[in-house]
Amino acid sequence: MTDVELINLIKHDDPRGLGTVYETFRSEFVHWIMRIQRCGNEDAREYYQASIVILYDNAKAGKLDELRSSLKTYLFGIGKNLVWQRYRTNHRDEVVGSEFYIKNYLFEDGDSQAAEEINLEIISRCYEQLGEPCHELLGYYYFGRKNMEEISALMGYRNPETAKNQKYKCMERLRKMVFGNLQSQPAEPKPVNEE
Amino acid sequence: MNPNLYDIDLIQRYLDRSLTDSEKVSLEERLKNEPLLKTMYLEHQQLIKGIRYSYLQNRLHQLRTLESALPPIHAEKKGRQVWLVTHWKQATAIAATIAFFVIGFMLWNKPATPQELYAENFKIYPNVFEPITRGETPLSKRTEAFAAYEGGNYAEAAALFNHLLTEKEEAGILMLLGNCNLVLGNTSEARNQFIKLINDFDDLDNQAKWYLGLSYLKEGDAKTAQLIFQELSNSEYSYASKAKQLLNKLD
Repeated sequence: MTDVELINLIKHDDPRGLGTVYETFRSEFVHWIMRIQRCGNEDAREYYQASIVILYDNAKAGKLDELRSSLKTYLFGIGKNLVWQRYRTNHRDEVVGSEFYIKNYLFEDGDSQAAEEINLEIISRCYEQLGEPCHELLGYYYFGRKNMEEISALMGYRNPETAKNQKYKCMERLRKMVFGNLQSQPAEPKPVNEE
Repeated sequence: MNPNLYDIDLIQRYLDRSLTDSEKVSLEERLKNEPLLKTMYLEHQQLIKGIRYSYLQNRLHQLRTLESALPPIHAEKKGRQVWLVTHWKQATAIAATIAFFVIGFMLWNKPATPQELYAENFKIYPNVFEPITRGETPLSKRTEAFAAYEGGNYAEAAALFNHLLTEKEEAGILMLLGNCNLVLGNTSEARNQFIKLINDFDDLDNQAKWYLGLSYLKEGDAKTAQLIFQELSNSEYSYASKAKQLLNKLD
């Protein structure tokens, strides 16, 4: 399979794409990280899994649509960035999980707040408890990067404006669950009715 | 428009970089002067990152499932060669010890039967195609099929996968159905599914060859299994090392 075909499979969430990439570069990448980082197999695999997840996110965002290098070079480039990221933190001598790199990646675009200050796990948990249609709608918008016209067609809303109102309600519900319950358990999800 | 909705819309378009220059300047000015709006902006940004994190965590979970089914990654040969040169005394001692145990093993143990090698090497292929997420209620036949597979109800999963295949042939479903049939002892059916995967689809070839080889081992046909593992051992994928290990045991 060519790089373009693989990227296309990844973009469309076809598990064969990510699975093939994962198996193809696994051994070479892990050995490379073990060599340059002088770390163990387990630590190197955490780097690898985080790099693959970041590659997946970039493919979904369309950043690989006009890739000039090979997919392998791109993947190893992500790995190199993670190594530098690790050097800049206080976690140099301990094994850290892939989640560490993924959180840092989400906050690398110059946010004022550090990743550690924001409990992504709580937001993620509340989002999973949000219920439908909010879970699906917010997923389409913020992860699937679909616009309101596409969402209204996919979810059967009358028009994009209705979908937009629904999205606002869903974000409000999520915001209340997260920030209203940050110190305690997240609130029980309630159904959100379309207007 | 609800004033909050208006501001959230502005914030969203600011994050999407779709505001006009004048709208952008105006919003940035308001963010400096209106603490409530600034808080709303920061919270909104955090929620978006949390949603994305949730999706990326799910992908990570899938990769970990896949990793658990792959063979371990061994140390590089180059490093081993350097170590052998610099530590030749220890290497000789280790080699002598290994030789002692290997000879002892050969003298006192019969070679493993194909069926024993099957049992030693068969590991059910993980459902990396449509993992069942927490809290998901099985609504469709499709979801039920994957849930049954993940739950280890292979007879139920096989019946449902067979039904799904009558509607549309998919590589992932063929792979999982083949695995169900191997577990259930329907080796010739499993073999049909793996052969179909190899002939009619471009993906999962190596995985299908691995399980096809195992199906022959299960029936005691070591010669055919050997041919398949021989071909697999020449590929560049991770199944190659697994196949080589098995071939060594079959020789």
